[in-house]
Amino acid sequence: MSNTGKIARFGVIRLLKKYCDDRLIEGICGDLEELYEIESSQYGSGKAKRKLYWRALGFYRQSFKRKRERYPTRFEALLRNYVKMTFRNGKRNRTSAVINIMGLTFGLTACVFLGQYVYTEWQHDKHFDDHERIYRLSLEMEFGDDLTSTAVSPSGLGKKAKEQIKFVENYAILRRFSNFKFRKDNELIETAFIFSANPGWNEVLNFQWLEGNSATALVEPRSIVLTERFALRIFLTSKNLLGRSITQDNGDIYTVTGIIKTPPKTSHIHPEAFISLGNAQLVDQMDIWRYCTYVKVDKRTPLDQFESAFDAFSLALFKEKGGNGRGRIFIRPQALADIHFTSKLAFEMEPNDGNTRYLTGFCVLIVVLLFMSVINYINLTTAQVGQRFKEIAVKRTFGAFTADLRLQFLVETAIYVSLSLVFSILLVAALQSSFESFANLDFPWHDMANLQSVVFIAGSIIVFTLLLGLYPSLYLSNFRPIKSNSESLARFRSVMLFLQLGLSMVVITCTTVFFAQMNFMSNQSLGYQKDQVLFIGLNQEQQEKVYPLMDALKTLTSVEQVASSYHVPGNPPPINNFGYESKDGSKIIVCPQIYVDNGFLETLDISILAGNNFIEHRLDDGKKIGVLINESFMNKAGWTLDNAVGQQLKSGTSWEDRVIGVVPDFHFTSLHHAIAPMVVRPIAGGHNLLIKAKTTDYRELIGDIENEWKGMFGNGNVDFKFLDQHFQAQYETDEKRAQLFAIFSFLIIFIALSGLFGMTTYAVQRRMKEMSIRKIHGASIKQILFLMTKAYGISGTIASIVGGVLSYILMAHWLTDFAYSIDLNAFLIAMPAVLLILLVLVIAGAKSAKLAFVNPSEILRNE
Amino acid sequence: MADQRIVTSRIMKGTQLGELEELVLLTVATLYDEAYGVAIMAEIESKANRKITISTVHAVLKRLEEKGFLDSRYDGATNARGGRRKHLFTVSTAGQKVLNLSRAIRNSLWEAIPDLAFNKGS
Repeated sequence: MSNTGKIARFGVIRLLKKYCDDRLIEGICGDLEELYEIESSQYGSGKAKRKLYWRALGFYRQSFKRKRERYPTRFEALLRNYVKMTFRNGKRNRTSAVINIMGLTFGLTACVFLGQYVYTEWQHDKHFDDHERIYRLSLEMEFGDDLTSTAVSPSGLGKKAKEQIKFVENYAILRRFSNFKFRKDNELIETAFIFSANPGWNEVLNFQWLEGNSATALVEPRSIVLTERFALRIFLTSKNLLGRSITQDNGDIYTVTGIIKTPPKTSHIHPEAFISLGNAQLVDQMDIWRYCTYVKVDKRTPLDQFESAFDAFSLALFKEKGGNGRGRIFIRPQALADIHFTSKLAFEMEPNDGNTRYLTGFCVLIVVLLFMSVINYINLTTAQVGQRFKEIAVKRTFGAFTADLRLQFLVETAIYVSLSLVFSILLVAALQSSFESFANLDFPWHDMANLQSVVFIAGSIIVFTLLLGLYPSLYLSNFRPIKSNSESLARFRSVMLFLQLGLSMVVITCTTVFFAQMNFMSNQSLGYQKDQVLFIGLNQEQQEKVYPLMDALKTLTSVEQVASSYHVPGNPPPINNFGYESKDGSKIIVCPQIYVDNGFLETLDISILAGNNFIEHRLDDGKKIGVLINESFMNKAGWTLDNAVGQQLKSGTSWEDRVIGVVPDFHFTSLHHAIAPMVVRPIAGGHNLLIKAKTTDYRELIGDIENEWKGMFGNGNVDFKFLDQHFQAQYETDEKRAQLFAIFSFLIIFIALSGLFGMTTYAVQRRMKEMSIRKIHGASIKQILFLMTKAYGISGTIASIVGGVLSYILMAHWLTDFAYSIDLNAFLIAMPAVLLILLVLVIAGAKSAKLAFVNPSEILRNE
Repeated sequence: MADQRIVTSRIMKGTQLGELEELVLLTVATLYDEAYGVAIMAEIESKANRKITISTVHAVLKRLEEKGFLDSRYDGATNARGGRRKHLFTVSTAGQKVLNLSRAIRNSLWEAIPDLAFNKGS
């Protein structure tokens, strides 16, 4: 019927017939036809057709839509039912739904962050092309009875290696300058990461070049290659800079020959700029030991083969005796990507603070976190069995297959996982930037946008869902309407709970010990007074006027003492070798030496055990004054306080150093390092001023110092730092890790305890009647509470004991990492244990209190 | 008044009349037995001076029928409609009731207006 008429041939009408309800279509089409007839006689068929189209479009609305007649397939219907049941059950058991989603969300979020941290750590130096073929040649030297490992090697080593070892393809040498200053108009720009490199360095350690030619950039002397970031600092642009010049504060002029992309933070070097070698002959010289040597080997050579090749090469190069009191010298190639984690040698260009042990720790945290939320989910889901008993039984009675029930629980799990995933994506998005600035990392999100990571994420979601859902789904689906197996389920749950509590105990204890150790390190006496001491780094101009400056500062009323030094506590001092004569012939001690003036000991409150301080000297270079040694040096050399003064030390110089005094041991650097023998040498001039303040009111002091500066240099820009803060900065990475550790440990405990909370909620529901009957028969509130919490108390106690023992073993092992560590005493283990048991009892008790105080008739009246 | 309150409470929620719905319902009543889409649209245009599209008319009709205020049948095929029948509507008893109710509410409100309100100053 509706196929007749003029408009039936138009497409829009044909579509409309498919879209609209059958009952309505005839009336609609009739009306449209009528209007079309009227309009085509009025305006002509063209305009009428246009109007018809617009009019017909108006009918595409929901209320005219043809209702679906198809019944959903069985699978569709089941799925829909599963989703509905999930939400209904979630609504009914709000506590467990919230705990599950919260636990999973926190767990996933924490894993994303920890994963980022671990991933970024592993990425160190992997951005260099062929990083697996690049090695740094560190040296191991025999010095008397000691072996000393250094990161630096002779500047000519690289070139010789390339010439003499056939599988070495290329070499690079690098040296870091940490105190270059460049002029920018009237300002001085300070830099700490200028690297001097040989012309071919980019063949080994390649950077991304934006401008300039990588092969020729550092051929000419006084050339400089800037990173983008540094270029912006100096020139405020990073474009078209080739040929521009930069002036160093001493007047040297460098020409810009290249711009490279700012390399990522994930490296053992963080260059701001590269400059050419001060002297092109350095690559042939073997007596300058200030450069790190990198080589790139060819693809095929196996590791063992080139180790022996390096041994032979080293023997030929350095002979049996390395000169200057050295014995054999071994070349120890370090894989580039390992340097960040393992290399803690003398003369590192930058401290390598990577630590595989912490990384393992964080990986363990990830697993524990996930494990906790998995257990929570399994426990809470299976604990619902009493409530879902009816649902399962009804379904079974109506002929549901076991597979259907299994699928139901898996779908339920998948819904929980995806909900948590959405929440944790939101959380990650909200917290990402603060995490990045806290952990000091740039996560390379753009590297993540590939198929591999999509597959990885999808895969982990599926695995996670199976992990969570498989056990409950197998167990609950096997549930027979008549026979109940809830007893073995309950046992399983208590084992899981025990595991959770035990792990929580380990985590709490580790965190406690961790912080106790951190605290210990910050508060440990260093052997000198680092509070109330400021230090000022001097530039070239100020160094020339150091003595007038010191005299002026000493007259200030706010200043107690002023000292000049070359080295500041907190910065690793250089190492030298000192020879001396003993009964068994001449011996050598390799140890750090620092250069300070006669005011140093007084400024830092270091006493003198024997002999005298340096005499004041300003004009000569102080060579004849003699040196101070610390107690460790004295003991190692076998001297005593009585005979140490007057001994002679020989240190590769033409003169002999007479020991004029002995000072107590003090920590020049962080407590990661054990006290070692040390030699204190007198300085002429100074690079740093150490100022001891009279009071803690630093405003006056700083004002006074700035006035002096203005008088002498025309500006008040004093570069001062507080010694205690500077020293503390050495522990920054440790502290960050400790804080990260603490945050995630807290999360773990939170998840575990929220699981416990959920479990008691069910226990309370289940035992309501039982407890009410007990109350009627005269049980007291105390007895009810005892009954309800007993099982958890016992579980918590045993878990504390087992966890305590485990963490004792773990922490005892960890503390061996530190030269100075706390003693693991019983208190450190007992306190977390008591805390955990208390928490368990409080949480279990809080829920049970409801049972203990309720009027039994409220519960039993319906029986 | 008491009566009306009882009636109001008997009408389920969601069955109140919208302004356009009332207009269409009244139009259907005036057109008696000749009320179908185009006729209703034309009537509203001429009586109420209001242009509404044909699809809106149909949507309102459908809604009113779902609420039970209208009955409908198919009849009266003409050539102008390409041989299709008209979808004809009549007001049901419930529709009549709801119209009466709405009119009564309006009347009572009109009566309750104090003389002063509309005759200020006169």
